[in-house]
Amino acid sequence: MDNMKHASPERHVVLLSNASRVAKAVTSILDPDELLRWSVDIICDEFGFYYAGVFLVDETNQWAVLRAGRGESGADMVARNHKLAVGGHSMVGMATRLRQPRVAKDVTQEVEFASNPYLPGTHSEIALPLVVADDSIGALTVQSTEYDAFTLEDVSTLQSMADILAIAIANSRLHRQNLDLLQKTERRARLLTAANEVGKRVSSILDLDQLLSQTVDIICDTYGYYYAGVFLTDPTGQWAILRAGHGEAGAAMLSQGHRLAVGGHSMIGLATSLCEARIALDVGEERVHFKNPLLPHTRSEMALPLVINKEVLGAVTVQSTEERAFSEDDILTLQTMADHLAVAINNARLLKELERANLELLRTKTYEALATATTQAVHWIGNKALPITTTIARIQEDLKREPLDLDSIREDLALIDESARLIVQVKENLLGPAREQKPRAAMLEDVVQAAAYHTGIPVEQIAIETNPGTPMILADTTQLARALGNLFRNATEASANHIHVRVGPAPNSNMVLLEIADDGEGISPEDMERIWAAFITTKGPSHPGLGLPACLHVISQMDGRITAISQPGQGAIFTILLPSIPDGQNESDGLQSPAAKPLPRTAPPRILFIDDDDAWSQFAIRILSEAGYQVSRSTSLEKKAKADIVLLDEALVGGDLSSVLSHLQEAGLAGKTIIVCAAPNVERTASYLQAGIKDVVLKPYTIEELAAIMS
Amino acid sequence: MMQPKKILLVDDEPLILRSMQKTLLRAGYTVGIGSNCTEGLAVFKAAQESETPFDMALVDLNMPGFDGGEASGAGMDLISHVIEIRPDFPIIVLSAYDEVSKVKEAVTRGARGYCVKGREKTLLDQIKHIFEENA
Repeated sequence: MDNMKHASPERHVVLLSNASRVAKAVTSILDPDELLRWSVDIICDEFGFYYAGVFLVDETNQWAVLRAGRGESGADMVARNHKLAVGGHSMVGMATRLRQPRVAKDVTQEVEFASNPYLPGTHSEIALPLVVADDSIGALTVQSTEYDAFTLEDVSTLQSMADILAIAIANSRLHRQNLDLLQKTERRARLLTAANEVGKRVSSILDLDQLLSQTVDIICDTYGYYYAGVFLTDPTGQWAILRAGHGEAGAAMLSQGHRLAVGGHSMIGLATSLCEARIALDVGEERVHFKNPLLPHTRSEMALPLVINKEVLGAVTVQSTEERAFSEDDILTLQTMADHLAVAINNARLLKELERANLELLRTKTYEALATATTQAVHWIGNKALPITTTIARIQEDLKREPLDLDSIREDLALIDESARLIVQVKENLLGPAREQKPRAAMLEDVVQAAAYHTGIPVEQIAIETNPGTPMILADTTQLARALGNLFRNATEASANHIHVRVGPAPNSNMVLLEIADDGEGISPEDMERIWAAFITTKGPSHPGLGLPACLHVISQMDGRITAISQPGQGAIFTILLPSIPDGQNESDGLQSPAAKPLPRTAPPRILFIDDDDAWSQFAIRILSEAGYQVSRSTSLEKKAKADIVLLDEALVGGDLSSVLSHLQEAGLAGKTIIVCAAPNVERTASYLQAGIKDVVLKPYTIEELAAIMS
Repeated sequence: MMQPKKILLVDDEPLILRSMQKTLLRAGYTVGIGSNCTEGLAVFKAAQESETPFDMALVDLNMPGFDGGEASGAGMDLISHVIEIRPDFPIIVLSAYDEVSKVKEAVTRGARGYCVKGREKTLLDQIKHIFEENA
């Protein structure tokens, strides 16, 4: 370039102003292709050259590829992917390789010049390298129809334009790379989050169907796919049955019971039979794609097997409306998701199997328990019936002999009597607790007292200690009194001299605690394991062994619990928990029940309580006094007693019930008397009614029940 | 000599019927029997028109009723029918039902006693007691 001419001052001005236009344009034209086209046009139009073109080196670094060319020739060459070898025998090839401008004053004299049929008018040419940080990224060619057309100023101005272009191209490439990288990173992060989300749900959602349907939704929402579905193989291994499908198409297929043959000509069929992922980048070209009328827009599809321990559980289908929709990241994260799912499906199957096994075990155990109980019952009845039949046969024989052995016959009759008594007792113990319970609010302390009374426990042998804050219980008092009676009877039969009963709220629960401690013989550890079993008794063959099982049954029916602890020789403690009635239903919370209001009458009715001064009578007297009744209480019927209503507590501890009854009859008050019982009994009820008593009722423990009696 | 008391026994269980009949005969009573409501009432009415009407009845609850069908409270109807004819006639219910509500209904209809089968040891005392009261 040493012998190059200088430009005229006017041309120099044109060159400089256009160079600065290009420099400004570089910062405002963001699309690199547009920038290149604009640059070649400026060079030709403003500088007056015949042709200009920009070559960029390709990814292989072997070729300089034409990216923009002036005019129709240029556009044609770009379209034909015109390229020149880097370092080859061309001006552009050399400039690119050597990173130096090449000038040909007369192209016919240049060995590097390759004549181009598209540009027949070229006589001189310069090729300027596009260099960024020592890297050659291509070259700019400028051609003229004149010989020796380029001045030094032309070259330096065009080179500075080339440098600016090079930087702009590099920047835009970098920007695009960054953008691609960013998008890829973002998508990958999103996909991993989604896979992770599925992984998390796998461990938190126990319902498999819910998990699968959420997963297909996550796949479609996160990846933006058209459709996703999960197939599970049936137990025969012949069919892959759709278990979850995205959107309306999925719902429709689920309702149709959509299934595909394992090993059949479908992506799912192949994925499940071959245990490998199947990917169809263009389903139009895929022979095995199942054309689904519900999914008409599917263009690419992927079927990922659900595999655990080399066993195929099913497959996931993912479908897109675009061809080649699946990137490596997509496939990788979706397969991760499928692996999570496989674990969840396997867990669900194991759980189901466990449940089935458990049910089977339960059935076996229940049958065993029934069989055992029945066997024991049959065995027991057989044992009790045998003396009856053999004894009768003996009596029949005895009767044929003279003289009659009366002592023997008497003894035989006693045997029959005892056996029959036990059989009847079994009936009583089995039928009673089996009856339907009618739970109601009750004072546990009072039920305990009634049970003790009816069991015939002397007052001095029992102490009942009640915590003042004890809530009412919810119980069938008749059944409960019967159950507690069994416990008291056991204590007496275990030679207990004293029974200590404690009643109070159970700590940290809505239960009421009842503790019955005796000082009897106690229960041995080996007997302790069997006390709740029916027909097992520690008291010899004269007991059917149903007292505690009946007690357990009654208390369990009340949603209560009973446990026992004992040391032989140190008595036994039975602890019972019974449900208390919910807050707000206790008697103290609502005195204004309709019937409790004083009714308009000339004189308030006189009510006589015949009862001990216990918690129940205090409660009932308070309620009725507040309601305006004239109330008095006594443990016996005083002479000249006047009353409109007599309330008589059946479990009258401090008085004599039968003498009270006859006094009531004598005083003409029987017809005004209502006997209240925690556990009414048939024979006693019949006799009370027979004695002319007005009514026998369940003891009222609430205002409502009390009001019902008064009305 | 005083005429022995005459008791009507109505139950559909043959063994119970025979056993109770023997017990009552042994206790010195005259016994008439019926195995359902219709038969029981017919026997009662026939005796009523004779010179020796019944003095008491022992009635089961769960047995064939007047319509022939087995009913848990059929005996209740028999009580009502008998009481309608003889308001002061003593009737004792002999039933397997161990239920207070049944007792109340029976007494309301006019029964004088109630005895649960299996706990019949006091039955003869009850009978005797009622006859003494009425004497």
